[in-house]
Amino acid sequence: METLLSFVVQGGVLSLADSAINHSIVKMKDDEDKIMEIDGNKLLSAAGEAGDRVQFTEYISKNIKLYSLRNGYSLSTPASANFIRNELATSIRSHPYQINLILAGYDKETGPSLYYMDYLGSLQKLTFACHGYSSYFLLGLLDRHHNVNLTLDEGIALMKLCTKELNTRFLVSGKYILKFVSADGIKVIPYEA
Amino acid sequence: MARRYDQRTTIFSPEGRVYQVEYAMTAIRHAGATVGILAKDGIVLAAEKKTTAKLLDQSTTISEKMFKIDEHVVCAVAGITSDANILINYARLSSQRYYYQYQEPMPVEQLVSQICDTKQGYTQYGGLRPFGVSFLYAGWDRHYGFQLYQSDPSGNFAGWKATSIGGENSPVAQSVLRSNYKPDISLKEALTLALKVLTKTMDRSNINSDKLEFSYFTRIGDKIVYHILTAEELDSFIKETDLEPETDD
Repeated sequence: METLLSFVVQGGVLSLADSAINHSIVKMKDDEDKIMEIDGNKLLSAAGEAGDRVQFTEYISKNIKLYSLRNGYSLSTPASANFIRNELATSIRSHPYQINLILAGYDKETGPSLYYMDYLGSLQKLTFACHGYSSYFLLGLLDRHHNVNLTLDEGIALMKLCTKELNTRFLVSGKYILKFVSADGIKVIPYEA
Repeated sequence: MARRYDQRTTIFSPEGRVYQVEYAMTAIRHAGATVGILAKDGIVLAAEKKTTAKLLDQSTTISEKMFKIDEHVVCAVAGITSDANILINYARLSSQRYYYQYQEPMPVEQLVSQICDTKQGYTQYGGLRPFGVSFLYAGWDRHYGFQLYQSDPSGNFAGWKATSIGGENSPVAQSVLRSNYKPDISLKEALTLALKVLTKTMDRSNINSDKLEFSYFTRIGDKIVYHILTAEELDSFIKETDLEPETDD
């Protein structure tokens, strides 16, 4: 049950993703990191076809790295989001990547931001976002409990509430990885659902 | 035999020079001088107009050698204007392409660098004449604020605090700028300095709105403002400034 969940809290963005790779009815592994770290200030969570996910996120992160090497400054989160959207939108007509994405980032000038993207090339700036079956349960929960002024600890508690709901309702319960991006960079937060 | 290394752009002479590029630079010296000054709150671009035929209809063209590339970048030209039009067209396209890809304005140095890559190409690939233009670019971006760049036909570019292109008297212009430029110069002072430079490089009787073009580039609040002085504004500015009579120097 692939799950991507991110929301904005005070001074940063929390991103959570499940860590399972499933093939048919078999779980291949349960420690896959689906949240790619880019430039030390952006988190790109991706879900979908496993091969596409690795291929596309590598391609994006290397291009964003190339930009910073060429210019001496890195691409902002909104510019990265539009760049990624553009790549998805151009590939959909010829070689579609079947992946859904959430981009979370922190910029000095504009603070934390969060972008929701799907494989068709749509892009929305949101304060919370999730992909996959989990959205059936989590959107309502987040409507009720989320606001952007949550502290980091309150944010983590809300993540716990969300994964608890998933583990209650999903057929199988899984493991998750949680990361936090803020002015201090990216931090992996040890997480037990 | 003297012309052996003149004909093609791509050939070095035995002294290690590329004559066609040097000729292009010479072409620019025949154009009127263009001055750019970077102030703390904006940038001034000023130029001498060379084509001032009495019967020329100037009501349709806003400016002879100042062009807006995007909301945040403008440029001034010295050299062959028809060559410049090609590059300006390309610059506008590049800027919009960048915006299309990132939904953010193109950083000024990247734009300048792209145009210079094109210029450089014509000094290396055979059979083509290099672009006979130098540019002054004035722009603002969130990375480096106000920026002034100069580029030449070889494809070189550099950032400047104050500089000039074109004109037979460019060493004079450079030395006036060098001795009068202050690091925290205001936009208003920069306008006056630009006028002073052009007064020294031009025939003094020509200091009027027929022979000059002035524009400034600044920010009011979050908005970027680019303004080309109208003939009336320019004449009253020249009158107001009232530079001290020329001394014998």
